[in-house]
Amino acid sequence: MVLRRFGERTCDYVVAVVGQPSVGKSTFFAQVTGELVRVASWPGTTVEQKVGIVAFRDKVLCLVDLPGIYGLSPTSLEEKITKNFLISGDWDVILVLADSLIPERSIYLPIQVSEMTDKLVVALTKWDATHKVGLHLDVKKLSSRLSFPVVPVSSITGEGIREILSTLVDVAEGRIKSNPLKIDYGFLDSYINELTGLIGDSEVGKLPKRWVALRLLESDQDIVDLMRGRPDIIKKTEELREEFRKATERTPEEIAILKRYEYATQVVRETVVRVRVRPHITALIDKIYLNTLTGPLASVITLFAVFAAAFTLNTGFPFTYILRYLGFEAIADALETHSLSGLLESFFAFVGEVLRSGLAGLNEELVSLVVDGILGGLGTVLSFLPLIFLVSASLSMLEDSGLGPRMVASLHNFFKFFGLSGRALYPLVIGFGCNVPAVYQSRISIDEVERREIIVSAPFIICQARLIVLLYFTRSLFPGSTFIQASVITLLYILSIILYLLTAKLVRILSSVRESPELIMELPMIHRPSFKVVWWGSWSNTKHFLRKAGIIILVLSVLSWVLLSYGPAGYVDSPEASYGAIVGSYLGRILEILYDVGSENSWMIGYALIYGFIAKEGLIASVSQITGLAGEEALRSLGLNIAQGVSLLIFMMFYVPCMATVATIYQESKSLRFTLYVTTYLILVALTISLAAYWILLIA
Amino acid sequence: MTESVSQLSGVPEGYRVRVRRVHAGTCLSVRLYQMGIVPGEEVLVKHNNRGFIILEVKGVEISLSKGVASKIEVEYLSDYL
Repeated sequence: MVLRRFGERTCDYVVAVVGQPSVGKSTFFAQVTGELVRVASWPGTTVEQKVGIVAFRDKVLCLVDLPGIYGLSPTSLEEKITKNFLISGDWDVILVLADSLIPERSIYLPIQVSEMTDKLVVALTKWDATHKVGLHLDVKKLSSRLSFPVVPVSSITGEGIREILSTLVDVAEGRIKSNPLKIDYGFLDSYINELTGLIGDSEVGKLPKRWVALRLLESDQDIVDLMRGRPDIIKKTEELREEFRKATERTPEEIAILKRYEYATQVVRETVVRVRVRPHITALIDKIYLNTLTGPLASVITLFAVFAAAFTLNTGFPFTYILRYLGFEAIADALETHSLSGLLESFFAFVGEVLRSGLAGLNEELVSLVVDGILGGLGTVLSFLPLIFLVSASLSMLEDSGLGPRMVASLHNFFKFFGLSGRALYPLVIGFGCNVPAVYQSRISIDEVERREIIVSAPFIICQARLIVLLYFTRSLFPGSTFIQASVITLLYILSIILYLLTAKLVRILSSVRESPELIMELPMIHRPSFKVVWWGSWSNTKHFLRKAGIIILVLSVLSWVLLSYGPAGYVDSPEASYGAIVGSYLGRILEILYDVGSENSWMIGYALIYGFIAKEGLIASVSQITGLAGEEALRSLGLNIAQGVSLLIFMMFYVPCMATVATIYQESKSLRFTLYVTTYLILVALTISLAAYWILLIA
Repeated sequence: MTESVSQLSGVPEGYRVRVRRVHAGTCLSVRLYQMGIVPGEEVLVKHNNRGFIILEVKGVEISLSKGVASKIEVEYLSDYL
């Protein structure tokens, strides 16, 4: 029974859309679907389920976007989702996307899928470019040779899109029928036949028996689970596998994949003519980015340039520091106020004033809740959006152009040294925007240990919220000296990268698998990034953040307003009598002992630290709220000397990033104990480094 | 012909070789097979440096770290010998 509801939408036909990585699935979705519905998560995971809705003729088609797979033997968490969905049978038609530029490889997946169903349509993507690179495909012949419909499409020109939709409807309604492929598996065939004979109708649902037998021999765990009710078959499978191995010294899965590729090669030989054209740009880029010496250098410079631009657009930093250092104060100030964050900040200040005067005369408690609690929280959430969007857009651009994968390859050796693979570059970079998506990025790992390494290490990366704290603190501690401010900021960023790498190494050393993960990655041809794909990728990332972290931050903002506005005596005007102050004073006493902080201000710092645990930018906001002074002056009023200031700043940078990140660590690890360990580790590391810095600065 | 057999990791740039065997666990082998690195396949080594190699397999560039490449046994095609 096919479930035909996604969120609010009811579908006439559910289409499962699969393809190998880099096939152009995002571009295809952007071109084809009018509306995108996000439906919770895939069962048992936190990977978001995306469904594109298209109305065609009088039917509503729901295209389920499944993570990329190379074949039906999944090797990562995301690939398993795809495989499980295909096996579940919760679809009417499977649409397989195949890259027309690399037919020898891309035709493998459709061939494999066609063994399990006859409800199949294949779209040959990137059709606009096929002729340009010197490829000529005989689509009619291909379609008849494979006995399922093959439609060339171009997401750039829109060619073939209507045809694909009408073919999908025709297959769903049975007007187009295809025969399941029967591939010649040679010596393996007799084994498949023997096992097929044992399988009963009731056990396999709509899956073909021959296919189930084949997958059993290929040691497909999902199919083994499916046949759990038949221990005799499982036992027979084991015997047959062993027999096959003895006879051929090969495993059945190796032979099966080999035979399918042989078949694919044969089909391609009959239907494709290739005229070799050399893509010069790719060759040039490869020469620079894949060279042992220039590769890492070029990658680091590229990343730095791209992210410096994104950061400058967002807050003016780091470009404003260069301007200030050169003496162009006025330009730097103008840049800061006209940066995205600056504009958002003044917008919220304006709305706050309007609301406050508009609501004047009403209950004071209510006005404070609306303006300080809710609007303040909303402002915080929104202030993150520009950078998360900019960082995601930059990354999508690098990824889509093909430059990203080359940087990952060239930096692999560096990361390998710390027990990571080159893939760890992405979470590191995204982390500079926000740690929440950085922790999510751990999913790209194919190695379970690397996944854990990234989850534990990502919280050390200085995110945007902490950058704001960093900017205020350095300005208040070293007024007038842009050079010292910039040096402290740079040093802390370097420290944060070192902590990311060393923590990863530590997790690797403590794990059962000592060897660093290997890198297996496809390098797509270099091309100009598609605006649509970049927009789509970054907007979906931003929305994802808004939904997941946004709600947590908003709720916690209101909660902390309650903490600060209420005390044992009820609603309080001055935060000194609030619950927050009471809790803060306990922490404050510890700070008095450790850092010799003055007793009259210690509770404020304690309170700020609790607030900072909820959301980092709250560190400054809470001090401002209590003292009623603006950022820098508020910090100065705490009366910290340089040793105290710098060491507390270090502590603030590295103890738990925020509640949202902790929640994400829990979501990704699904273990309360693991989350607790990570949190404790973060606090201990932060405290150790901070105290060390304090004593060094005291002596110096 | 025995000297024509080698690990993929040791193949210099610009050489075309044929895959003979993959000596790795099931998960890794299946991943490589699915990407087209199957026994009998001819592949072109486009880059080879200390950390990784770039292969062209079935028209696609794939990067493999040295550890993986050393698990792939290949033979040189006769026109290079």
